[in-house]
Amino acid sequence: MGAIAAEVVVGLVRESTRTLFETMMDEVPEPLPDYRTSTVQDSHESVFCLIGFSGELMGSGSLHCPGACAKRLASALLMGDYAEVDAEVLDAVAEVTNMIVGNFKTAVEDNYGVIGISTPTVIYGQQYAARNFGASDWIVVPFRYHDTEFDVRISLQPDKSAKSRARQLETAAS
Amino acid sequence: MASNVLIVDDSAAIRKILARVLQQTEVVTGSIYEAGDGQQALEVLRQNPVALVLSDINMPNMDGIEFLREMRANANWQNVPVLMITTEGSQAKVLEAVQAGASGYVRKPFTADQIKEKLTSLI
Repeated sequence: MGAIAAEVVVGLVRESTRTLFETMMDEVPEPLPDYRTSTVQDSHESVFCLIGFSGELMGSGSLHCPGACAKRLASALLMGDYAEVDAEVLDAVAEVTNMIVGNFKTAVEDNYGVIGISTPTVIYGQQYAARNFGASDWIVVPFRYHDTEFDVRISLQPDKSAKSRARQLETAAS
Repeated sequence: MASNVLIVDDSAAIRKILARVLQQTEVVTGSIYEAGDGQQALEVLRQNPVALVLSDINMPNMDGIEFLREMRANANWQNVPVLMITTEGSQAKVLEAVQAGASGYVRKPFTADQIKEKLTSLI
């Protein structure tokens, strides 16, 4: 099993994001040009929510946004007003990430087999850095949302150790 | 018409949205209970009569499929309708939920109307 083409990943993320916003928030964020990076480095208040993939394809899906965007996302999802990034806002961002990444995963499974996902981990702060270790960069798919932006990041590569385990099992069985 | 309803999801945001949808219907005539995972949900069921359950699948500690199996193995809860509401959309996962005893299945993201329609067909 090979890696998924970047343009396929970008297309699936945009579709999954559009579906979520249309269905539950009555609006659609504007897609911006995608790019690649292996880091998140933020010196402003921001939220970074990460979900792990496991199986024959492994990696992570995440959402990164400024605090102002997190409050807007929570307001749209929960139909309330949020003056600060509190637990309810972080939970809403986690669920937005879960639905975008979860539906991306389901679309990928149609062609690449079952992929497991973890529950979301949310990081919130003013000065932090995160790095994607391994062979691949994140494919970053940004969106303009009102007067802010958020981006969805995907890193998904074949798990070579899973292939190796499968070969060992085949050898043992034969 | 159901009296008490239990919502099981590790996301407080989804529990809040579903509670609001339930309150817009005539389905709930009693209390809406909430649980963050399957283990908590079983505790709620042991202490309260519940006529309808809405449950996620991917949750920590005890996931929705295991929770469903535990429910169906208990004579008191065998016939309680359980609507699964989840991002899991693969055929394999839907089949697993149905085999475990799910009464219905809705994929996230969902609209309030989709949930109401499913509830009407279950109650």
